[in-house]
Amino acid sequence: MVNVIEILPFFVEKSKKHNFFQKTKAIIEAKIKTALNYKSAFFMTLFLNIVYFFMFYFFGENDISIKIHGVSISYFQYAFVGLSLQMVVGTALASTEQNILQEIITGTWSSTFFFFNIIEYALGTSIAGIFLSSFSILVSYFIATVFLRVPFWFSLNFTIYIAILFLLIMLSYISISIFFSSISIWYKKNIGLTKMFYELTKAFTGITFPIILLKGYPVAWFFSRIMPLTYGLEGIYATLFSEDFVRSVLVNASILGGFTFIIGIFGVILVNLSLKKIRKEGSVSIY
Amino acid sequence: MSIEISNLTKTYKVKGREITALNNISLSIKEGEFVGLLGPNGAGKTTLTKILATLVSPDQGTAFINNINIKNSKKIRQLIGPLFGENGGRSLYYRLSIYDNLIFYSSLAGVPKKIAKKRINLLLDYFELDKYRDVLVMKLSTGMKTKVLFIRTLIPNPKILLLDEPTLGFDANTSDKARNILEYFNKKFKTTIILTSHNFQEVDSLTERIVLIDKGKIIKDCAPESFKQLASKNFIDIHFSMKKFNKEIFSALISQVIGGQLVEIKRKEISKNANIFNARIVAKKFPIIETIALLNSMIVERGGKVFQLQPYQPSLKEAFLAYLNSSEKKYEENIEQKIKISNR
Repeated sequence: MVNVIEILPFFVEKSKKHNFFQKTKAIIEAKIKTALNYKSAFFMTLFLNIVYFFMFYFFGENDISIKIHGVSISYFQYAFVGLSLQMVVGTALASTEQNILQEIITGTWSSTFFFFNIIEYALGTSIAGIFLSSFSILVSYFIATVFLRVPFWFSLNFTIYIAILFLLIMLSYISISIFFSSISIWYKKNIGLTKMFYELTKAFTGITFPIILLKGYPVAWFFSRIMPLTYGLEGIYATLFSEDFVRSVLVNASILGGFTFIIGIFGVILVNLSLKKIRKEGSVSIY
Repeated sequence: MSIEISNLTKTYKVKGREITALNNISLSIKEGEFVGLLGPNGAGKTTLTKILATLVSPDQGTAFINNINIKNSKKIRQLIGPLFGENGGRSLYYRLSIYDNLIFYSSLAGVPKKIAKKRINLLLDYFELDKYRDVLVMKLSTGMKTKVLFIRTLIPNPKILLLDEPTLGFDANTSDKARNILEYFNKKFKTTIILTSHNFQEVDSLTERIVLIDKGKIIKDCAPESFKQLASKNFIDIHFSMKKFNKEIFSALISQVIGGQLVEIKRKEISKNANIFNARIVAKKFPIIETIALLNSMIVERGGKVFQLQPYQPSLKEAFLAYLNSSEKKYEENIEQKIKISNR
């Protein structure tokens, strides 16, 4: 057993200043380790996602074909893109807000509040969540191509455009999550906005049917136009099936970028106002 | 790394009522000072600590740490290491092990990984937690969780330690170790430490200055010895014998006849004819000399004998408790007076 004299020399070196990348990396690692300690929940979610894919595959076996940019494809080929993204989008949307709520309930919020600013926290928790939920996409893609023999065509050119759109989709939903977090921090409870937004995203962004079908329905059309994933999917479908995809990618990427910027800034301002409020109330650490 | 607090006020609104937690307090703490914050529950100690930790913002007044305003929370948080023992380990991630928690928080505090690992290993060994390093925090006892919090606070070696009940749940051996290491940090690294604790032995042995807070105001600010000496002017130690003795009656007599308060009574000897007792009494109503005379008469009139009667220096706990009781009584008397005036 050591004594105090042996310990002290190792405390002489000073700590560095708080570093954005170090802190973001630390929370990514901590959240992944925490999630992996919920092994049964992780594998259950993965299993349910695969079941979901099978459901749509067999639905697609009803010989429904869809035309995208003049190209006829099977229903499952169409739905696969949206379904894959839907899971990861859900994670990006929920990560920041749900993690903050969890921290408030379990008591780690005051420590989180002490060490992080909202951008570091949002990026760290979202990247951890996206990384874990991306397993669903990879496993589903593997099953679809190897076992179900669904043909997909990807080339390196497509991958870069899809990667850019994917990144912008994630950032836009992270910015929405930051915005929703401000409300959760203010009221210290889950008021269901994330779930509502997620369900609207699943319904009206073109995941399970082309959104052109919503044109005769103004309310539904409006919802589809305010969801970032609509623009992300438009860009991805154009990349996969249209010859003139660059213009579509540029337009949709710009919309996603603008959305992220505006909602992100607004969200950060509101979070800081909420944090100011709880500091004034003295309610940073109450359970 | 000095702390300057000026006219700090904090009021909470609870169900429409306003509760003043801190009432215009000012305090100066020099670099390397080890200060104890004492006070009854609800006095404002934790509020003060949380304001310095930038977790709560004051309504009025200013506080500077190393000439940096606490409004600049980002810079302040790099200087301080807060520990709130009331959390009972809840500010640790339950689904991470002790080691993963400590590595995580070390990264956030800017401690390079290699150095953090070394410090974590040494402190886990020192606090006898090394064999639990890979155990999830949710499986630990309250005392063990508080040890982990304690270690977490020390790892970055901050310039200022804000410790609010840091040894809650510690056994005697661990309390000793915690005291030792705080003492060394204070002496070797000139770490400024503000310690809030209801462990009087800890406060008495470690601190060079105590600040007594009550109802949001600083009541006393002096060395522990000075506080005890002030209190000793009112403490009496008596050895006496009585044939028939009843503790409740004796206590009531002390209160009603000599205007004092019985702090402690022990039976020293039991013999055929009389029991010998040792009592400690606080003089409240009358000066100590008059109280001693009254006490002597009271015991002799009831057939007792006084063997020894002298003032004595109380422990910090006794001094604090006696002070609390007298301040509560003054508060109640003030209220009664106000009621009488308003009823005229």
